[in-house]
Amino acid sequence: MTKIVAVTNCPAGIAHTYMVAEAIEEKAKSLGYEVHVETQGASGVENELTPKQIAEADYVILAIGKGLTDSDKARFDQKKVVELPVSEALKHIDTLFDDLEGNSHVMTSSKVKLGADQEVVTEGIMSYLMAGVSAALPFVIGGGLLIAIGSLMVQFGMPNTPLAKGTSPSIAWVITSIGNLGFQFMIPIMGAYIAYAISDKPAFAPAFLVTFLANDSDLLGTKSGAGFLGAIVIGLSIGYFVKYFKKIKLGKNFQSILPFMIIPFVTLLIFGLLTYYLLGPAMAWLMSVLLSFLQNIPTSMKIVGGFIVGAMLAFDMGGPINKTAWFFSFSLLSSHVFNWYGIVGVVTLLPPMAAAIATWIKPNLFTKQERAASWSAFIVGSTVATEPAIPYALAAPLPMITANTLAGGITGAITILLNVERTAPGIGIFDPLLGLESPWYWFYLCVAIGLVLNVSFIIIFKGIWLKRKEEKEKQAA
Amino acid sequence: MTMFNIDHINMNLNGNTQKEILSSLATLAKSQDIVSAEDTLVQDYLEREKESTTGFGNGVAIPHARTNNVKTTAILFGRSSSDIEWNSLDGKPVNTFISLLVPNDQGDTHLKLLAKLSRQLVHKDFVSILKNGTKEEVFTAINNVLEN
Repeated sequence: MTKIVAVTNCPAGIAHTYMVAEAIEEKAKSLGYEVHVETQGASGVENELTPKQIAEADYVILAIGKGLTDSDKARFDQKKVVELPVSEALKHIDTLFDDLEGNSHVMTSSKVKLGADQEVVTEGIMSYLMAGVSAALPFVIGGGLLIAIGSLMVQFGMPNTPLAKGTSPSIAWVITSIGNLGFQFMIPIMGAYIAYAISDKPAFAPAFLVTFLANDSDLLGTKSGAGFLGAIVIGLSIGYFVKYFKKIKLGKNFQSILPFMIIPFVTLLIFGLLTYYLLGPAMAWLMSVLLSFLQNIPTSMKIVGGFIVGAMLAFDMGGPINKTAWFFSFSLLSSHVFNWYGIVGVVTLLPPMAAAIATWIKPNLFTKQERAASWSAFIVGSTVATEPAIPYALAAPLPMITANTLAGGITGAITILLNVERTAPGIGIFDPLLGLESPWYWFYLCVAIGLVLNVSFIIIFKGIWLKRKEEKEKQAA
Repeated sequence: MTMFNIDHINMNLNGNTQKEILSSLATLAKSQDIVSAEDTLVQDYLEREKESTTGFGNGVAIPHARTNNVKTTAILFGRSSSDIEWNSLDGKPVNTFISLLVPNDQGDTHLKLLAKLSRQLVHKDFVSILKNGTKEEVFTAINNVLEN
């Protein structure tokens, strides 16, 4: 039996979406086809197509009046698709089914996809995280490249004058500041899209705002923001919270304002306060414990210390653990101890460069979007910032963080053993040329060893992880 | 608070052009206190028609609007004595109108009812009542959809 799935939507979402859905259902049934139609109307998505229905369908009909989102299209990758404007669908309904084969084309979606031969993940926590990844990547790419340009301008002698009373800022500062916005907003965007993927629009605003709060050290009064791990925790908790909140019945009069007033307001209030009064202090406490732990490592255990600092730096890339290790190393500069900061110079280069190299060696372990972002991650990662590694870690937290942390730790130990010293922040891989990191030969050796380790770990761990996930999905199906 | 009652029906809408018919529907909407501003509704109708025609064939059109000018969700029904050019899908002029009006922030329950009604519009027997039935028959047919 011919099996058909369809999606209908229209600008207002009150009439044609449903007329066309009904028409397609009636017509298909009259022909003896099995049919499922998803309506995307004003009251949201109804009869949402399941991955199984889509997988089994011979043809997909998209009668669309307001376009499909990318992630929506991704569901139909490699399917035979007939696309037509919703306004035309009623006109052609009688002939629409005459030549589905001839009117269809194979959908090639360039969308988020795990590996070349893998099914698009449409459900479960991983798909929520992937939604965060694909939303955040453009922020890191755009922001990162601007920061890289700004930093290079300064290193080549252009002035870095910040905005202040009576002076106009220099162009290098302006470019860097705009780029910094990309990094600053990447984290709340992740939190917001993770929550959005779970429970749609009502979760977006509270998740965005609360993740912003959690990542803003000034607002929280901490030394670090919660970073991308904070975004995962907040995005998932708000997403699930709203998912169940939406089911509350408030009676006719209040039901209509539940999704766009009550839910965002209550969620923001609860999670905002929790973040401020629980997460903030908890992070501050964690950082002070870790800091005093680092300060109390006996000098005789330098290699162990190097391992711990390296591992911490690579662990959450800008989060509290990383910031503690950085703070520890940086504050020693004032007492003319340069070797701990040397670890920072080496280890923070590794995660983004390694992720980029791994996409080149084993492209099928990564999504198309991740592969496309690799050059930017490599350039930005090797010069100014670790942030480009974050989306890769978000896409597969367990294997990527394990790989980064382990490689960071070992490289940290080697770096301190070889006594690589760094005196000031510069432009990453070029630091020795600027005289900021020495001796240059040990520095490059450490980076090389670190990259080999980090890339190998990523390929091994992510490979195992993907295989396990595939087996799990097979069992589930 | 009903979405549809007998006063929402005008079996003799004034007008010979699309714009005049839409104005008559807007007058009807205003008289039932469904919209804040009559003119705005006419504009919204026209905007929607510009996007693509709401004349879906067989002489029936469903001009609709979803804006904050609309105060409560409502259905209007009308017929015109003359045939109106509507740029319909089948090219034929129109004399039967069913108009859906929805506030932007409308909750689920009403939208689901409108969805049900829209689904009926592709069924020939339902459309034939709209085109040929008496005022009471039309009223009963639409109400049956909403209530069942």
